[in-house]
Amino acid sequence: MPIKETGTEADGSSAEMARLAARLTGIQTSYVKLTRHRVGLLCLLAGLIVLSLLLDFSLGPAGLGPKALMHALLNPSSGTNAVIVWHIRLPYALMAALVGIALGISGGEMQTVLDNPLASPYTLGVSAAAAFGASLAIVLHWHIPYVPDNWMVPLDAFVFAVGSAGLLELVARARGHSTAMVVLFGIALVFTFHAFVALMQFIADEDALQDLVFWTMGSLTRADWGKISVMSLGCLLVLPFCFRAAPALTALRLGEDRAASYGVDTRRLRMMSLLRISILSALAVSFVGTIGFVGLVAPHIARRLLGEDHRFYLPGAALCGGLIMSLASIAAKNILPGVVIPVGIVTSLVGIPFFLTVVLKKGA
Amino acid sequence: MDECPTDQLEVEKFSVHYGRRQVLHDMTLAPMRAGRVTALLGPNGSGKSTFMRGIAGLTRAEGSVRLAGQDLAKLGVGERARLAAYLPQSLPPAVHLQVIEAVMVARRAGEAVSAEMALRESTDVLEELGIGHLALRYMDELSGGQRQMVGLAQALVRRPAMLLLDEPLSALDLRYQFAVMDVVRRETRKRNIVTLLVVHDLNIALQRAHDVVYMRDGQLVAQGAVMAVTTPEVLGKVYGVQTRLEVCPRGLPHVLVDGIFEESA
Repeated sequence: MPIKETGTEADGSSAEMARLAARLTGIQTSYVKLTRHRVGLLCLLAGLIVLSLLLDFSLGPAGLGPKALMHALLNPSSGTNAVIVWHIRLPYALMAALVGIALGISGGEMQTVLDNPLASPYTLGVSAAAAFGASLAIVLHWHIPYVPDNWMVPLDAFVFAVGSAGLLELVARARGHSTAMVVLFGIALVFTFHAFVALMQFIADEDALQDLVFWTMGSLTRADWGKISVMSLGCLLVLPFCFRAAPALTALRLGEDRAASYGVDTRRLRMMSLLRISILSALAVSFVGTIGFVGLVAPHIARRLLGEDHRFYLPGAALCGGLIMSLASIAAKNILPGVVIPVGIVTSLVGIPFFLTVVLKKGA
Repeated sequence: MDECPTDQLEVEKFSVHYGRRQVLHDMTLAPMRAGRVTALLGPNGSGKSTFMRGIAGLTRAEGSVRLAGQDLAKLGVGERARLAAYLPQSLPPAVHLQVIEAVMVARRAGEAVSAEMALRESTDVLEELGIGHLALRYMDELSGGQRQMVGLAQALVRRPAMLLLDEPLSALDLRYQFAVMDVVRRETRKRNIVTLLVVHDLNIALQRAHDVVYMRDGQLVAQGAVMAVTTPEVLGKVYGVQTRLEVCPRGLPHVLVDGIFEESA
């Protein structure tokens, strides 16, 4: 240890050296323990998602027993039960977790990049923009040649969601990355797009109105294997980049100038991060509709559980998001017997107790 | 002191514009030597922070900045960051990170350092600054003074050749003000680095810095060893105040302010 050779009162005394060495070992052990604890927590969260997926898969209005489920699962073309399992249960359950993961990690990155604990795809207008895009497809029956009808709504929603995220980015750049301005602009986007959606509702005919309202509630019933493939491909492509940026994002959390003085290119970091956020959150909302709360709250839970080292915080936000959505999907099917409530309605109901226990717990 | 004469910071024709407004005007300074603490003094809005950010490479500037003969403008962002550690004016934020983690982040950002090595070096720096006992506490549990010490640890753990501290004392109580200044002085000498800091308290600057740079309106007013350039004339020119310089029985200089001059310009 090259320290303490400066002539302060401490050195020379071997007792002092021993004390310092002991402290060093103490810190190292505790750091290793902390890291292990965090990895353990991440594994636990992942395990809970698997459990929740299983539960989501086995519960439902059809009331299938484990034997019937297994049989249908192994024989994809064996009648009604197989249809229920392969076209309803599995896609819904998987979509719930995937959407939760995408929203959780987008919210997590957004809160860091915009340095605002209220940032999320929902609160800054990405969801509202997606809803407006969807409303154009639903009410005005927009068609693009060669695009199948059931992809028209998500496609429109996606284009508008990415567009709104792009606008946020433009404003961020034009205003010299003043984060408060970006947040205000995002809130303005929310109101603007809500007004547009209301306008579309006003001019919509009865059927379209019903479709549109249902869309804005957020529902997993639109999930199918094609959309799940796109969604998981999106996650697989984007998540590695999120994790690679984690150390730089941790530095950014300590302040823009501080990160820059550590050699982090903060402009580039921010731009790439907003790009990832827009892809993930736009994919999520375009397939299942407006889902609030998850993107806002999952990061807060992750922060409390895992701290703000983004190597743990980002995966944590993703997993918390996935878990909340998966639990919400279970609740959506089982609160009212025989009815599947739109999942967007129950996410907050499911998430709030979770949120309150973790965030309000002192000294967590 | 007999450090190598090239171990110094040379600033020539240094200008910074914000849009059309020129904030720093062609500042040329005498070389600032390693191992000495230079305090940057001047009224609010005189361009001290801009000067620091410009030297650190966080603000676009014209002119030449050379450290140990090396032109900083020619270096990449990462290399420049390795040479110059900059401590921003604001305190490190109260994030939910352990102190040791926060210091490790600073050590590892932009440089491939193993976790083990970063952990060891970070612990060493915390011990050096006398805050080893805080290593496992969370940043959001610390006082402002303690967080500023962590900020200093974050800067020092990067082993910079130059330390740029923007008002490191502004949020601190009296004890921490002197604690920070003593640490800065000690580390500057031990590591033989160039240290520039902005302070508002003239008396601390006079007692703890070796050299001073007086600025006003983006221009250099005076530069040199503390006692050589700090005179009532210079202080009047820089701050617009009427002062007396008294030396206390222990030989330490004190500035007493008797009044202010009417603003003429």
